[in-house]
Amino acid sequence: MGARTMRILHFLCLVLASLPSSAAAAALDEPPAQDLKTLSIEQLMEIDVTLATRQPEPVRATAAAISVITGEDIRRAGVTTIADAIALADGVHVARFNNGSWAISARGFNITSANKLLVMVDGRTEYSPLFTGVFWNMLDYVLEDIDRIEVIRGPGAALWGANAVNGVINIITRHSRDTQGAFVSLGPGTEDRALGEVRYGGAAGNATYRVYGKYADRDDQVVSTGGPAGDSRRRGQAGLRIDGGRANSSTWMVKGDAFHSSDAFFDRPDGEFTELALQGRWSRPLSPTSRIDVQSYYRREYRRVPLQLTHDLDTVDLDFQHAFSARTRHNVVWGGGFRVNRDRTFGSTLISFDPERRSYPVSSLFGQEQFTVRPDRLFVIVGLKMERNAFSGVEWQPNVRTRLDLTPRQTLWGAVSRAVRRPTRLDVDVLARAPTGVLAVVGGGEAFRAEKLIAGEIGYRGQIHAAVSLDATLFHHSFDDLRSQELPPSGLPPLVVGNTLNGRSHGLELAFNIQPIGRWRTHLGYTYLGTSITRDPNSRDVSGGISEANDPHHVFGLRTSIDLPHRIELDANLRSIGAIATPTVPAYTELNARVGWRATPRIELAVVGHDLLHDHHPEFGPPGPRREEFERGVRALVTLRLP
Amino acid sequence: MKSVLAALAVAIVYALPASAQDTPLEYRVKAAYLFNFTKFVDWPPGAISEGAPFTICVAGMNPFASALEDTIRGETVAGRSLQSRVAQGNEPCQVVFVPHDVDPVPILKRARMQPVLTVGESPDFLRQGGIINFVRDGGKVRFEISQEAAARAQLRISSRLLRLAREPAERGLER
Repeated sequence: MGARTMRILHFLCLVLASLPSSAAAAALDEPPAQDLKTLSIEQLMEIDVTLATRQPEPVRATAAAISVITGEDIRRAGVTTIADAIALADGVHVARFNNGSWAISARGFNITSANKLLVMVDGRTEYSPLFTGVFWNMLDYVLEDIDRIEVIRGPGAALWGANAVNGVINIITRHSRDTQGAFVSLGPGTEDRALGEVRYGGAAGNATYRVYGKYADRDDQVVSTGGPAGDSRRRGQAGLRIDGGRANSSTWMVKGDAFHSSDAFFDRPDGEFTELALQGRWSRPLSPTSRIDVQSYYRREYRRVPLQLTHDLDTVDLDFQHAFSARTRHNVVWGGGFRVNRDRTFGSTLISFDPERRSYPVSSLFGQEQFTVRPDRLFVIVGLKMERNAFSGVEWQPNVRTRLDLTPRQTLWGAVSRAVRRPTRLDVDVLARAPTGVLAVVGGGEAFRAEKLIAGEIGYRGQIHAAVSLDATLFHHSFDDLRSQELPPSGLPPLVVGNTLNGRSHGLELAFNIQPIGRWRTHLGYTYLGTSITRDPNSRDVSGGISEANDPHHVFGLRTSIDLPHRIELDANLRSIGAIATPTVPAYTELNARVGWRATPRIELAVVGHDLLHDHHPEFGPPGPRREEFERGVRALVTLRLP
Repeated sequence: MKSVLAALAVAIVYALPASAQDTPLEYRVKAAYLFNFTKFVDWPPGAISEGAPFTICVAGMNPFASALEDTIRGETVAGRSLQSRVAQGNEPCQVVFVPHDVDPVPILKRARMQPVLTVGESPDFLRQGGIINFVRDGGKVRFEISQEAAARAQLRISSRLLRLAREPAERGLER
């Protein structure tokens, strides 16, 4: 991988460095202040000012490793799924398994059913309670209407709760006030044979709204021999969002989304996938220094994978929080929530659950205080979350963080946290059979405990040059009670799911933002990760943990965006992923590129090429004739925005 | 490992510019905002002495370089010419901008009960008594408004501006 990466980087750097200097200077001059003042406030609000000199935002005051993907980043990357957009974040390993499955994790323990990330859309939990992992094929939205994706690496459990173990991903959609007017986007391509998105936003009284719909038809990938993989899929989604109220008094939001897809498999009838979500939020300031938020949602998932598992699952959630500051130096947030999950499963000879139906509530209380030790300089944050779940009872998740602002533009931070991955039906109630019908693995039942993590992190964020900012984090994670598969004392199957593995991961996460001039932005990310899994002395585990983690040591990403005259945009995104061992996938380097032209304020045209360096390449899964590989592709994009 | 780090180093060296001292886009946008705000806020009669220009002051360090000057050059507010200056002490200002590395407390104290539009860019600015605060939302500059503080300063803020203001702190990471 080394030599190849070097060659490509050299090539890219040469291309960038060899722009004729006069043309480059003319092309890259920023608009003078004179031009900006003729813009309306609404137009000013839409200018992206992201800079290498990005100053710490309130978000950054949480003293955590964070990376924010903006809507503009997503547009310029030309991606077509949320999973691919998440791959733009630093320190996240995103590997495609087939058209409908991804393995996504931060800080290791990545598998297609990775279960240590908390993923949310507008604060609504999106992982399936069945196994606390995300069914990525069901997570979709009009990408234009995503405001940003915040990715926190490391535990965020004291605030967010169980499963915020290796990270938190919050997908935040735009306020309907910011999506007024009509939007139509059509993007046919070699892989996404049809892709259309439509949205209309308007206002009524002191409320604004948007309604949207999208449809996509994706072609098969290929298997290693080059033949079709038989995994084409069609998906559609529609929904609406209404926002009302006034700044400084109560505000509210109501949102509803419906998703359906039909996914092909090479060896069985198509699968059907449906998700429905309704969400409401209400927020009111009690005084200039205090605010209350109440949120509730209902979510239903239905999945049918023939010859594997069919299930439906309803979730109802209610939570509230109260934030206030006291005596200027104390900022306090506290709150609580209650959630009920109820599922029905219809198993197959391969996998089933006992009992077939189950409801399982989760309730929680949390509190966090940020104490200003020295104004503008030293802050200490202490938080604790107590959560009670139906499987392992009460779990405590504390953390302590501190932030030291060396200068207004340089920050050091550190944190020590405890987090848990709570037990799920997949650990407790599962029955898995071999193709012969022999019971191979049974769930651990009430004896199965939560997986626990103690994490230590230190980080630095700052501007190291007028045009360069650096974000660096060192971490060490230590896991206890990781999921194992135990051979019973009789020495005969079935194996029993247990907790006798321990894990460690450590790593270095680096991100550079380089912006020599306003119209040329470059982002570089590099992550080194080491993970290991060991057994307790009394362990009877026979899996060795190979089904719990499959992580590359190195992940490298380089994104660069240039704005040329005549409103032409050039973008390139190079990623280099190290080899993974169990199962083996060789290291690979891939390149996506985009040329865009904002012909008029209303019309945008673009051509996007993806996976350009190979005819096809694998990213995850066991070697063999059926392993899927991802093809080079091109698509065209026409976008219309009418005020 | 070695080769990736080497690649990183190469990329950075190639990408470094010779000079990059222009006013950042962020402050050029904020300068345009400041100019725009003057059109959506009514100052009480008598807030400005007869014949005096309308003045936008920047407290302490000036992050705009010449961008604010360039923005307001030749413009007028309510028939008065518009000027900007870096505030040292007690100059009469109609708008005061407090950069994030300047402590707003003494400035807000001085402006308290005066018809002065205070604009800041630090997380606690509204809580400390400021009227408008710039916040970053993704890569964009948005703002929040304290109507209470505006009323104290006898300033009338147009409903259009209030509608565009972000409600302070979206639920999200700040939870």
